[in-house]
Amino acid sequence: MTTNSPSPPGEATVDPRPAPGHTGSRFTRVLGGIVIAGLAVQLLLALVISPRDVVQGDLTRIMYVHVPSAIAAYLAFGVTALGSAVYLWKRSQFWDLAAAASAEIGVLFTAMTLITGSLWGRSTWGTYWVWDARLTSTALLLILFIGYLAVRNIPAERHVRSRRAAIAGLVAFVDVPIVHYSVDWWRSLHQPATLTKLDPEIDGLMLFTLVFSIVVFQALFLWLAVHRFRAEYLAEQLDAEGLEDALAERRAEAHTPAAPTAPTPSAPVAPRSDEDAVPVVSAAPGEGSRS
Amino acid sequence: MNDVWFIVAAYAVTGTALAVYTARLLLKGRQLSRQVPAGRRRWL
Repeated sequence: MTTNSPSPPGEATVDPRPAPGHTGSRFTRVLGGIVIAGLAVQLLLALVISPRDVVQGDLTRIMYVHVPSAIAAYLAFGVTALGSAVYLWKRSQFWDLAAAASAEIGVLFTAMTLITGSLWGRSTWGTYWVWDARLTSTALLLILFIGYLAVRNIPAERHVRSRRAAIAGLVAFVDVPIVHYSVDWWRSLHQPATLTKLDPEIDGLMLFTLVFSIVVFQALFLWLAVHRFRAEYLAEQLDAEGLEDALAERRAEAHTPAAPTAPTPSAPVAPRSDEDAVPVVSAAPGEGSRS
Repeated sequence: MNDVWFIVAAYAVTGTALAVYTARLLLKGRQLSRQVPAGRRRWL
């Protein structure tokens, strides 16, 4: 098992730096501040400033959380796929943890995408759910990455677990382009992509609000991912430390000379009474003794 | 339900999910951070 301890196993690590007691840093504090301010502006733009749509009215305001969630999920699963590929290539713990941290946040954003999309669908299509290509492939994406997280939780040696998870992550990522292009490949209730067009058919302020929301959600993803990565890393370190302590204890036991045990004739071993003896008798069914 | 309620529901779900996940993540990080010595924080 790879550890980052500078001292050999069993030896106490002396580090003058105090343990911070959180997973924050100057970078995450600055980024967190930007994200909170960005979310406040995003709410103002999305719910107040942005104009109503001529066809759907106020319902398009759901777009400002639905689309950014979906794109943040794409980014998260992209990072998971990248981390998985680099792990299989370099066997780097960093990329394995980055993949894991990103996948969990991707699952959160995908669930949010499905729920907000379902609410939007109910009010525009008249139904919460339809087995449409976009919706079905997105639901499959959620299930695949929940499966990825489950694979990570199967008990195994770290490198075995990481390899399995990396393969699962790459396989699950195949669904991301299917989700994205499903509206072009199959007939769908869901509208096709708006932002990928060179000349998007959307009002200027609505477009600005949408792009701003997407940027804020990407920053939120990054902030969450850094914290999640650090928590995952700390959990791994804690496991490694526990294992090292256990190994050190075993080694200490192995090197401790056994205490001399001279026979003491004055203390004879008491004969076992018949009551203490465990009967080795196989009783017939229904005739078992009750103690 | 009229349109407003669907909008409120969508934003409430998003906000609640993000708030709960963030709070749990920060608490978990805080809890783990207290247990891991400083010498083991190469990426922190």
